[in-house]
Amino acid sequence: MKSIWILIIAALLLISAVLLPPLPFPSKHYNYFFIIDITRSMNVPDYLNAEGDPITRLDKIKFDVLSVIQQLPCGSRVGLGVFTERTPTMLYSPIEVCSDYSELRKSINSLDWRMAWVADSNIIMALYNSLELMHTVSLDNTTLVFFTDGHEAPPMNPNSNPDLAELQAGESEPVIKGIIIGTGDHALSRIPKYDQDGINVGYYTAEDVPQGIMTGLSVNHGVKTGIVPHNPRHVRRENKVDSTEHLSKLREDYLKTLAEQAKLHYHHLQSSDGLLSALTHQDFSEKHTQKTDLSYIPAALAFLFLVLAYLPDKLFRRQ
Amino acid sequence: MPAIGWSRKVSIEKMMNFAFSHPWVLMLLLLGLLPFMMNVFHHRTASWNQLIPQTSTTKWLDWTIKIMGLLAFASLTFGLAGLYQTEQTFERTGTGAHIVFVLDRSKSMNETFGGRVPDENTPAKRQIARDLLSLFVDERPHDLFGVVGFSTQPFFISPLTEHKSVTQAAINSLTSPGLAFTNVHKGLVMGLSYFKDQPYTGSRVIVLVSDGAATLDHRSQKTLREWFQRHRASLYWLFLRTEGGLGITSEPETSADDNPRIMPERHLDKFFHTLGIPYHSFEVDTPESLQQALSKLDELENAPLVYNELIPRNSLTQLCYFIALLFVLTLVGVKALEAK
Repeated sequence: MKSIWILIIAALLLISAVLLPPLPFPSKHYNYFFIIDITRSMNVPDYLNAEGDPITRLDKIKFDVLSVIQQLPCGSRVGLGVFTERTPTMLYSPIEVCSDYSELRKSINSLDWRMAWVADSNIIMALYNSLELMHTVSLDNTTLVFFTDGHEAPPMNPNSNPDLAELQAGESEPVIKGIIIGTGDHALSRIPKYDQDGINVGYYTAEDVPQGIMTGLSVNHGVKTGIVPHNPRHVRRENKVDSTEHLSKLREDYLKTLAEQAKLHYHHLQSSDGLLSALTHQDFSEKHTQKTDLSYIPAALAFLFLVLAYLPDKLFRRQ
Repeated sequence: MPAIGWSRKVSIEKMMNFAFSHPWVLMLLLLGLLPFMMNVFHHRTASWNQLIPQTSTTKWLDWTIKIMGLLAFASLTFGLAGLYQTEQTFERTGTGAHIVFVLDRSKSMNETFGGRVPDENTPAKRQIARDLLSLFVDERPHDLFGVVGFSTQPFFISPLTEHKSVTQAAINSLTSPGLAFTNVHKGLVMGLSYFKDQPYTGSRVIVLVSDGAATLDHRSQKTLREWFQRHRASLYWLFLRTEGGLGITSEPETSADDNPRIMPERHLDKFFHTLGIPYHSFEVDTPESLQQALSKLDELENAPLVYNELIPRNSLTQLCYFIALLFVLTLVGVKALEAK
């Protein structure tokens, strides 16, 4: 059995590997538009890096997003935006993850909470506006990836919430597919306070931030009474009981509700591997045929035959 | 620390120009030892060792055949692991410039030149600016482009790069609605910071595209003066003037109106003239005049420039398979000569 033919087969396979042109073959890729929360609560260092040192939510996002981008198949595209208060903005439309990786890395590493043009954070409005922005900038077929800790500051009056379900009903505009990435820890942490030059000057205290809903609520639950004047006397007493608004944690239940209303996925950011598998969910992949180099198949078989050529005859003889 | 991880990766890329797409396949290299443990020939028992004398020639031949086997395995493994040449850059000389666009992302950019809400026939100022800048970038093959956005705060959009795909994507940021106020000073400072760690290999240009101005305090005036001179950058201001609004060339009606609060554009323009750098301003109030301003910029900024030509990554797998084929064919030849 240890014949010259094994080597000849290996040679023939190699010839076909050399000559095989790229063939159209179905493959998967992904198109994402990342919108990242750059409000102050994202400065809370409630994550740990590989060395066990605390890092901020924003740094954790940067690190894990870059790691995910490195692992995406070439041909995938990533665009970037940020939001603060209720307004998202696009920094750039999606670019290819392999050829433009170094620019992606530089721009993601340059994200800074000081880019924020206003200080409040109004998550539900920002999400609503992000979904609308996807239509405005013609990214209807791109997957929205919305990073936030869900911390509404100041707290929202539920009566003035926009209707996410209606926006995503698919009637006037196509439904945007996407995922909310909850960022932060379940435990409360203090929010660092910085001065104009980015120097940490302590933490936000209970007196620094509004603790309750600033617009009035109607006395009857569930009855919308229109805009109630901005007057502290109309603010119901029980809103003042919860006085932890100067502390921040991941508002996971809240974000899950938002995700459900807007027909989005939800994932809690913990590791880059977890993020990768949440983002490469089959709902988000786009199948298309791509000229694919399949020469590795004959080449791998040639390798096998080359190994066979060296193995002792005894393995093949039946006696 | 993430930073250390990155710098390590970069330095490796600088040192060697080759890399693998699937490095784990390299484990197969172990099988390259097979030729040293076994061989492609049948075991023969010689009746008398002296019949096959071990001379230096036979020893040499034996080793050659083994090494050829090793090389066949190795080149095949390299091919399977996806050996490629990393993206390379070659220095060339041409004409062009290093251009940083500093784009106004304030709310007023959402309006038309006529100061109205845009409709199908009359697009918003930001939309016109996007379309024309995009054409401009396409027509300047050797330039490096960077993009900064600013409103109340500046934001980093894309670094100075020769990748036009990135610059085009960054200019697309103008398709997203404007944000808040116009803080020209911070945008310019971030734009100038792009030249900080950049070797001086071509003329440096800041192109400020804005539809408004703001007053500058003394501290920001001082910073801008210092930075423009330090980085030897020239400045183009494409001022998108709204119909009926104040512009760079507006004259004050009374001397009392001639102050930065009432006429910020006029005074910002005056300040730019005192910077001691090449400065050109264009008052633009139609898509045509914006086109003219960009043509002028195109004409003026054609100084000699050292630019990098990019050679995209080049897959070497076919070459590896071809080399493996040559070794296997030689082995076939040797095997054919085997004593029967």
